Order: sequence, then C-alpha cells, then structure tokens
Amino acid sequence: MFGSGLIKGLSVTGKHWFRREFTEQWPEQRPDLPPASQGFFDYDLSKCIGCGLCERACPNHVIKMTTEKNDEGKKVVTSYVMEVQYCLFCGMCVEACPPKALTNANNFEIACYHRENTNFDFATGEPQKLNEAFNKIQADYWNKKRPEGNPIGMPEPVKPPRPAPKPKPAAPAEGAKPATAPAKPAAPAEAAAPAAKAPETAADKEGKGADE
Amino acid sequence: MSIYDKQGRYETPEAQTLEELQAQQEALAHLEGNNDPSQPYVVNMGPQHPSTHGVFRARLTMNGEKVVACENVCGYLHRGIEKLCEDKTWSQVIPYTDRLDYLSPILNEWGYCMAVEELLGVEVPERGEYVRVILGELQRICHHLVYLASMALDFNGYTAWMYMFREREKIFDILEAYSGSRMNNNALRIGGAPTPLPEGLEAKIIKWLDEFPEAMRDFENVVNGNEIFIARAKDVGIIDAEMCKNYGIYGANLRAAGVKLDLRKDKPYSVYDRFDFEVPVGKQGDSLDRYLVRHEEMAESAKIIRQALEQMPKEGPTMGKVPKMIKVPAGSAYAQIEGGMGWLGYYVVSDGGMKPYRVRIHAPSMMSVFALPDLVAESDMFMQDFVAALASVDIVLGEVDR
Repeated sequence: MFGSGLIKGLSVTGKHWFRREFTEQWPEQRPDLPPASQGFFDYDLSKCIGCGLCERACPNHVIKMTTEKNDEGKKVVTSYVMEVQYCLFCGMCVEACPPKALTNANNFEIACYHRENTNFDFATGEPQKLNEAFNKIQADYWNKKRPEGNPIGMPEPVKPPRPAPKPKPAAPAEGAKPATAPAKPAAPAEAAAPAAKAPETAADKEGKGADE
Repeated sequence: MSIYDKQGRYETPEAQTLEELQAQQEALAHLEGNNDPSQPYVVNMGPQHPSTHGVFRARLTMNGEKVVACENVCGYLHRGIEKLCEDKTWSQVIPYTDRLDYLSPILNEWGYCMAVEELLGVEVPERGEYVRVILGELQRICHHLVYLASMALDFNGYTAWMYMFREREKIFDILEAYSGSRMNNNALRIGGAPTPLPEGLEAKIIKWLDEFPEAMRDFENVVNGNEIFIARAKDVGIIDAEMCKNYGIYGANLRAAGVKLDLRKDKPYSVYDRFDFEVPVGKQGDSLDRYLVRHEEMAESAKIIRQALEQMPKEGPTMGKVPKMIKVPAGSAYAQIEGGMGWLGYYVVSDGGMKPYRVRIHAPSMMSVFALPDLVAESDMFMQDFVAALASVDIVLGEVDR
C-alpha cells in the first residue's frame, strides 16, 4: 500500500515520545565522565622534575617551562606556562610525563571570554604576569555589583531609544474615521520638511559647482 | 500534460485528440532544445550551503530547473596538513590526521600508523590489533551514522537525523572512556594502542551492541521504507562500476555499484581475516543503493565488534617495542585501509630523521568530488537530484582540501 512507509515512520516517532530522555540539563545535571576524559590539566609542582619531555611531546608547542638550579644543584621549575588556546587536547604531554606530575582533569568548563586569559602558569598557579593589568580589568568587571535580576552579570543588550509617541488626535472629533486614519496627518508633515529643505540644498550644490 | 515524460519517472496521459498530440510534440521539441528560448544561468551552491556537507562549492549551470554542468570549487578548508606534518615528529602527526576526515578520526590514525610501522618494522601485538579493530569499527559505524543522518536531512528528514545522532553520542561515550575525547580522539599510537580497554568498557560496548539492532530497525522504519525518500533517491546520480574504475572510487560507493570489493575481505590487514562478516553489495549504484549499502555495513561492523570482543586476548601487551623518541630508517612505505568513505592511503617518506620527509594522503572522498561534473553531464538532473547525488557520494571536505 502506498503510504504505509510513512505510517510506519510515524509509529516510530510515537514510540520515541515515551522514551527515556537522553539529553542532560547542564549545568543543573552534571555528566558522569569516565576517568580517562580529557578536560583541563592537573599539575603537581612537587612531583615535576623539569625534564621538559612534555614540552617536546606537544605538537603545537603549547607548553613553555623555565627551570633553575637551586643551592643543592637540583632542577627547580620556576614557571610552567601553557597557552591553552593552541592546545589540541591530544594528551601527548600527559603520556610523556615520567613522574606523572601532569595529569588529566575532568574539568571541561574552561571557556573564558578573552584570549589573554587562556595563558596559564601552573607553577605559580596564577594567570601569567603579562596579563595582570588585563585580568584586573576583568576582575573589576566580574566583581562589580549587579542588580538582582541579572545574577550572572552578563551585559544587557543596549536598546535603541524609541521615538517619542505621537500626540493622540482628539477622540470625539475624528471618532467616525477608521483606526488607521490618525497616522496619516503626521506623514505629510514629515514629508513636507525635507521637501522644504530640498530646494536649498540643490541651490547650494549649484553654487558650489559654479565656484569650482 | 507533463513535459517530464522523457525522464520516464512521471506518467503522462496518452494524447486523446489531435490538439493534445500536437501540444505534446511541441513540448518534447522544446525539451530537446530545438526551439529553446531559455538561457543558461549560474547558481552557486555553497560554500555556506547546508547540503554541501562542509565548505564545498559547486558552480551549477542551470537551464530552467535542470542542472546542465557542474564546476567544483574546492580549497575552502585547506590547512596544509601534509606540509604541517613535515614539521612534526613521527608521533606528533597522529593528532593532525584526526583533522582530515573529522568524522572517522581513528581510521585515519590507523592508516598513518600502519604506514609508519611498515617502515619501522614493528609488529603490533595481537591484543593491540584487537583494540584497534574494536575502536575502528565503532568509528566506522559513527561515520556511517553521520552519513545516513545528513543524507536523511538533505531529504528533509529531520527526525532521522536526531535519532542517528543520538546513537552516535552513545558511541562517543565509549570512545571517550578509552581515549579521553569524544571527537578527534588521538586514540592510536605508532606500534599499537596505548592502553588495553579500561575496566568496564567491554561490558559497556556489549550493552550498546545489544541495543543497536533496535535502533537499526527504527532507522529502517523511519527512512528506508519511506516512499518520499525512495522516490527521490532511486535512479538518481547513478555511478556505475565503469565510472568508479575511471575515477578511482573505491569503498562503499563501488560496492553500491555491484562490485564486491572490500579491503578487509580481499586484502585483509590487521586481524580482519579472523572475522566472519558479509560484504553488502548494491545493484546499480544510484543514491538509494549507496544509502542502503552503508546501512547494512553498520550491522556488519557491529558483528565484527562482537567477534573481536570475544576473541581478544585478556592479557598481554598492546604496544609493540617502539622507543619513546621514534627515529624511522630512511625509505618509503604505503599503507591502505578501508576507511569510512573508501580506500584511505598514506604514503610516508623518511630521510632517517625524527620527522617525516613527506606524508602524502590519498583521500577517498576527493575522488567522489571529482566525479561530480561527469555525473552531472551524463545524467539529466534537476536541482533536487543534484542535492541527492551530492549527499549520497559521501564527502568530507576536511579530507578533500586537507
């Protein structure tokens, strides 16, 4: 029978109506992530031996570390900067680390508003010093007190100012006319204004042309 | 009276009177261009067109509703990956191959790793091969699901799109538990697979395999039997075996044309010779055949995964003996696998250093794109037929442009 395929398809849709929901209502509902899940990174400064293998394993040269020798002749990591904006999240650095100082974290909520904030110094635990001034501006923005109706603090869209409402015509005098009629008297007045100016501008142009 | 009777797809009533007969003859003469008053015009389909599956642009020369000629404009997604690979070490190339065919990253990695392993002379342990087969076949199902879903969407079947993507998300959960990422996994390494399947993942895969046949039945009922879908896909965009041979199209597109040729069966790499599976074949190579072949291939892939899980050794290494800093001896190697869209080949040249001297990628979907102008010229296509043909040849522009 022609059309039986369509009815079959609709029956499947009907069956799915009563199915368990598959979507997760983030952020109220958090996903149950497996331990291997590659989100952000955890870095343990005390474990790090400063061998620089992670630096070399990275395909995009995301990691930049500097080391110093302390009084006992041991290597000490002074800075460990990751430019996360260039990161592929391939996990090569985690795999290369011999003492497992750099590990996966399941935290995937690492989006930020500005590119400068993606540079992250794990050794000091702070965003890079270069960006200090910039971060202060950001911190000021986020710490500013907001009205209660806007708890997240997202900037509200600027609405263009509306034109002032036109004065209503006297109701009893023009009551007999249809509702659209009151708009009409305003239009000729607006149209008349440019029309009045037009001859002047035309004359100006002619004058300029003559001067040139 | 319809003027489309030349196509044979629409029934026209027989002319009863002399006037009707004359009108019919006039319409036919008009179709053949004898007294054609219309002029051809150009329509740009893409690069921001939802039906072009990425950033592909087809310049279509139209005559009325008919597509007369097609000109491919590629290169919008060109990132120079082949050149980039020359600046990376051997193992750093792997995450870049993910970005070629971004719908089946693990299959891409597999091809590259096989080429380098051939050059290195490393043997992958049995357990590693089984992990590769399981992940690779899961990825193939993933790829075919996107293909089927987007083809259904091009035919205005939004429901099927949602159902198939939901199934894909379940596979992503499995891949994430192994590799850490949902897409662009970087799951394989030169010399094998980095780890065995983590604890509990096998059970998770088996649970998904048990649920999958029901999902397949749903897809069948929603799309395969749909009269509108069949009417639009049947006898449209026929790429026969001869044309496939001329353009070098392999894989599912060739099988849809009736040629039973599958690298996994005919020239088995890895451990594919140990599995029992069928190679689905189409009849004439039209859009519907290409769809159905891939639909059946998903079931075969599920079969392979189940067998691989049973046969996989429970103990032993997954990585071959490969040093941390890989230095490949000078020479060249070529490896080919059955990718999501066809035969995916990697030609790798080494000068004996830490970095590849050259990585050349044979992209299967590039051949399908190149066949489009000929396909349009040979067949009498409407605009909607072109959309159907383009959706069914399965192109991924990340791979075409590289």
